[in-house]
Amino acid sequence: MVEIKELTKIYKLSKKQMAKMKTKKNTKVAVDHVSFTASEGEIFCLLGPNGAGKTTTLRCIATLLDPTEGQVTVEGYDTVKQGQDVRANIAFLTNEVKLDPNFTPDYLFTFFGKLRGMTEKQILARKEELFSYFGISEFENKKISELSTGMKQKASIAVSLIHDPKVVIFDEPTNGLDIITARAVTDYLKLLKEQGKIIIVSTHIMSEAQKLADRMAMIINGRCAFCGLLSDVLEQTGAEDLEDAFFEIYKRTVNVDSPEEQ
Amino acid sequence: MNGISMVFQKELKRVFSDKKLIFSLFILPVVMVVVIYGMMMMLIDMVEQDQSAHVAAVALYNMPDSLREFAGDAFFENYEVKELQNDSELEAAKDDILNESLDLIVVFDAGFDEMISGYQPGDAIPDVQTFYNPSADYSSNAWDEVVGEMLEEYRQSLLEKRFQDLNSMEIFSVDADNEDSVIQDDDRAGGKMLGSIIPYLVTVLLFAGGMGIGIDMIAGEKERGTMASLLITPVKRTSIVLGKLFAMMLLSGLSALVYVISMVVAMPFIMGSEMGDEAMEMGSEAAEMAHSFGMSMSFQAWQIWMLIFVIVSMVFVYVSLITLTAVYAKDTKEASTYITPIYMIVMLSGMVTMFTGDNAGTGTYCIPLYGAVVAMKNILGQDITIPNCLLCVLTHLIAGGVVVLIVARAFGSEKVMFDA
Repeated sequence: MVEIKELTKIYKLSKKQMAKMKTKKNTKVAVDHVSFTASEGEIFCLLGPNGAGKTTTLRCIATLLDPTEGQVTVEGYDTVKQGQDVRANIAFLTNEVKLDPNFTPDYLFTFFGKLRGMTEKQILARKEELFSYFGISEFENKKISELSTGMKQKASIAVSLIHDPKVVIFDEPTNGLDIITARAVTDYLKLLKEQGKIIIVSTHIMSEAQKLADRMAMIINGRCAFCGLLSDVLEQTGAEDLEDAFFEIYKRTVNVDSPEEQ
Repeated sequence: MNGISMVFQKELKRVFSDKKLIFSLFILPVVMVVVIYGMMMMLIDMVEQDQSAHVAAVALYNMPDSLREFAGDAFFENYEVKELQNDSELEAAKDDILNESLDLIVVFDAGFDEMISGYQPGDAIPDVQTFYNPSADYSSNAWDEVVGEMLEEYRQSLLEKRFQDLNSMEIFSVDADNEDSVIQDDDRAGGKMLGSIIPYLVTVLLFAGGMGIGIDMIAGEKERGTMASLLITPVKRTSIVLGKLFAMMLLSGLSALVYVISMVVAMPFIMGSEMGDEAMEMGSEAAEMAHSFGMSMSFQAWQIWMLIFVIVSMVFVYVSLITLTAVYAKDTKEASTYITPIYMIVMLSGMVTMFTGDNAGTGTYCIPLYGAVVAMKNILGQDITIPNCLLCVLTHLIAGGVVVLIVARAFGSEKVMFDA
C-alpha cells in the first residue's frame, strides 16, 4: 500500500526564480496537504494541468524529494527514514530520469539488475519477458542515443521494471509516444494491475485516465480537488466523461481560490 | 561493496566507449606532446639553419696585421668583410647596423700592433670597440662569433706571445686533475633533482586528468538526467560516490601515465628526426651532464611504495574535491568554472616545492594537497621519515574521506541533485 498523509512540499525560491515568477514570496507551495492511498491491484491516476504538483507528489513517493510536512509510506516504509527500502520496492519512471545515451538497452538492463542485487539468471529471465513484450530485442544492442523517442521510452520502462517491484510509479508514461506504443504501455499497466501491483500514474490525458483509472486524485494548484472513483466524479459534476468532469472541478476550484493565484 | 564495484565498472565502460572522452584523456596528451615539442624543435632547427646559412656582414676599421694573419683566409671566406677607410665611412656603417644591412663593426686603434709589441708595464692598453644591434638575431650572432670567440682566441694567442708560459699568469688551478672532487650519494642527488620537477608534473597531470573525467561523470550525468536513474536504486549514496571516485582515480592515473610514457617515448624521435646529428650530440652531452650530476640513480623499494601510497592518497583528495565542486554545479560549464580556482591551488602547491628547502616539519605533511607534494619531493630526495610519510597518507585519506561524506550528503540533497 502507498499512503500519503497531508503531504506538503514547499520549495524555497532563489532570487532569480522569484524574479522569473514575478513574486515577492521566497517560497512556493507546490503540494498543499494532499492525502490519498493506493492499494494492491489498483491503478491510481493523478490528474492535473502542468505545474499542478503531480510530479512533485510522485517524486516525494520515490524518495527523491523529502516532504516539508506530512508523511509518505510505501509498503509500510517511510520515504524519509527508510528511503533505501522504499527504493527497493518501487519502479519510478519520469522524463527527468534518463538512460545514459552512451549505453545499449541490453547493457543498462543488466547494469541496473546487478545494482539491485539480482542474479544473472533472474536478470536474464526478466530481460526475456520485458524485452519481448515491448519489442526491445530488435534494438537492444543499439546505443540509447541512436533510438527514437518511443524506443527510448520502452527501454526506460523495461529498465525501471527490472526488479519486478510491488509499486509502479509512472509520471506521464505515454507522453510523446505514438498511439501504438502508448497502447502497449497502458496495456502493460493493466497487466501489472492483474498481477496485484500498486500502480500510480500521472497524466493530463483524460481519455487515457478514463480507461485506466480505478481511482483518481485531481491536483489543482497543489491541492487535491477531488479524490475517488470515476463514477463518483461523473455523478458529482453531472458530466458525461472525465474530461468534462475535470473542467467542472477545475472551474469550481479556481473560483474558490483567491483571485491573486490566477 | 557490490554497488561500488558495479558503478566503478560502469564508469570505466562509459569512458572507454566514448570516443570523445578517450580522445581528451589518452590521445590529446600524446598529440600535444608530439605536436608542441615537435613544433618547438622544428622552429629552433629552422632558426639555427637560417643563422648558419646567413653570411654575416662585418666591417673592420684599422684591422691590425697580426689579426689578419691570425684569422687567415677562413675569416674572409666565412664573413662578408668590409674594411672601413675613414671616420665618415664608420658613421655610415653605424647607420647600416641600425637598418640591419650590416651586422657588426669592430674598430681597432690605429697603432694596435705597435702598442702591443711595445707594451711596458704601466702603459695604457689598446681598446677594441664593437658596434652591433642586439635586437637583430644576425647581428648578435655575429657579435658572439667574432667578438666572443675569434677575438678571445686572438687575445689568448697574443698573451701567449707576450708571456710564453701562460701558467705564470694563472698562478694556481682548482681541481685540474681531481676527478673525485664530488663526494655525494648519487641516488640522493639525482632524487633531489627529480624531486624539484616531478611533484609539479605529477600533481598537474593527475588533477587535469581527474578534472576532465570528473566533470563529465558528475555534472555531466546531472545535466543528462542519468544521475537520477542511479539515485532511484536502493544502492547507498556513498557506494555511488565511491564507485565514481575510484573510477576517476584510476582514469586520471592512467591518463597521467599515458602522458609520461608518450613524453619519454616521443622525445628521442622528435629530437632525432628534426635535428639529426646535432640532437645526437646534444643528447650524449646531456647524458654526460646528467651522469655528472648523479642522475644515474636507482630507486629503492621503500621509495617506490611510499610514492605509490602518497600519490594514491593525494589523488583521492583531488577527485573528491573535483566531485564536490562538480556535484554542486548545475551543469558541466558551471563545474569547469568552479574547479579552476582549485586547479590553480593544486598547481601552486606543486610549484612551491620547486623553491623550498629540504626541511619540512611534521606539521607540513598534515596540510592536505601541499603536504603530499612535499612528501613526494622528500621521498625522492630521501629526506623523509617513514612515520611522517604515513602521517601524510593518513591525513589525505581522512581529508578525502570527509569530502566524500559531504558529497554523499549532497547526493541525497534534493536541492543539489534536482535543484528543488
